[in-house]
Amino acid sequence: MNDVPEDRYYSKTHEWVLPVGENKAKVGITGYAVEELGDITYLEVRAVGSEVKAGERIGTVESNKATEDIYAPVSGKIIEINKEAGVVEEGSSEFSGELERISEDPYGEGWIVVLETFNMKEELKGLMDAHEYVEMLKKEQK
Amino acid sequence: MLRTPLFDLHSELGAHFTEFAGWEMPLRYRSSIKETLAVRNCCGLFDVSHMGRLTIGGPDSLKFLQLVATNDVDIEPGRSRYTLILNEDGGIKDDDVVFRIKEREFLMVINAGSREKIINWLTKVKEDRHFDVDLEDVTFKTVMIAVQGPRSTEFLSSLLNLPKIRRYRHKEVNYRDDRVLVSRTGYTGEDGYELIFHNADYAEEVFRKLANLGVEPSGLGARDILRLEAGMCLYGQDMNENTTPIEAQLEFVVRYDKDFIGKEALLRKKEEPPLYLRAGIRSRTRRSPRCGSKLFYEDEEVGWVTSGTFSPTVGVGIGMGYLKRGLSKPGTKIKALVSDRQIEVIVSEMPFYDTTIYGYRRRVQ
Repeated sequence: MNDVPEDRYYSKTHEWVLPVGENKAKVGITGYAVEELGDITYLEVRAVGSEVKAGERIGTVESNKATEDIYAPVSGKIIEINKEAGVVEEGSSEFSGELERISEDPYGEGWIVVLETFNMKEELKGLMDAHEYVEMLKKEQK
Repeated sequence: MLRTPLFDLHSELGAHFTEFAGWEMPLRYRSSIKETLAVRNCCGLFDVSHMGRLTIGGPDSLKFLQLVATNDVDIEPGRSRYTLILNEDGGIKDDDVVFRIKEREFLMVINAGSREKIINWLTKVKEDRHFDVDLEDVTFKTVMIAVQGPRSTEFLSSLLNLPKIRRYRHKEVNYRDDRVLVSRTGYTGEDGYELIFHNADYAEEVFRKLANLGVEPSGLGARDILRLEAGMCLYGQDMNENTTPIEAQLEFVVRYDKDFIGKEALLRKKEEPPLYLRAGIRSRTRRSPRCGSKLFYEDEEVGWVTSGTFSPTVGVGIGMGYLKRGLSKPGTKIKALVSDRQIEVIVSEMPFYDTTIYGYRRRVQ
């Protein structure tokens, strides 16, 4: 919980978003989410080209324990998915089997998608910074 | 929350803990999937001290146990048997393993979540029917560890003077000045042993030594995957007081040729075929059915899932649940609804893995 990076923003549903350009952002799930899930066994997201609004389901992650939805922290169009980390497009039957990357490095190599954002600057105001996110986790664990 | 005497050792080994039936138990050390595969391919190590352990002795002990257990427990000392305990309506109160230690001395291993309920039930049966038996809960006086996997004999033999013990049999083995009950049983589908120590320090020593030898310390996460891969029920999840052994497909441990509590109700229920039967399902992909998922055949709702997860051994999602009678033919295509999205599954035989390659019946390599 102490290694929540300060360079990005967090949602209540445990996704992070890292701006990587004016209208471009990387999205992933937090270290806390990964801890709670256990071993991630499958992760699919909506197809490249799909447009999602902030708060909408962008994909689904499965572990040995549970199936959970992943929500878009900001609105945008999916322009890239992290196939090297084992992320697949919904409905496809491909699987590359490297999901350990997400468990082991959720804030780095284990990113999930890149979005071309629509209104990032405004939408980031509704998210938490690292400090606020850590505070929320502390409350949740009480 | 209750802790087993090995709690500090688990912390030292890096365990992540979870609450289970009032106990704070290791969920996983590193990865549940790696732990599962270690048990299937080599050897894993579990603290199962949370399981209830009762001794039943005295002149009426056999008569008493025959009345509460569905299976025949009039077995030779040194043998053990899987059995159910039913309520008066034929519903399952618990599933247990009964060990016959001596002619008039039995040990019963019961589910952690059922311990108090079963003790109360046994005490009630004893008192109502005036049985001359001594019941003692030895859960907190003993430590139980499980060593599971194809190489478990080899690893255990390096630590203690392990005699030959056949499956579903047990022997007392000396470890320092303790008499350890060593049983060739488990809840993984693999060959392996369960050890009951009186001395917690010795149990900790053996656990630590096995871990140092490379036996994989494994948590409840792996244990749940392993038992599901083997097609074994988890009490409270895959069956409960409202489930009969007929519906749960556990009639193979019901002996109708003797008297037991619940038999009359069960015989009445047998006159009408059950609506639902327990069955295994497997996904065509890594997506898993989940506990609570509804099952559909074409557009008709035909059942529900009670356990589901990803099987690292098979490489697909697996599960078990209750399906309308008549649909349980392996290969039948059905759909499971998981958080509003359908996944295609087929009815599958259990165990889910290839039993010529995995499990205690595997061909010796």
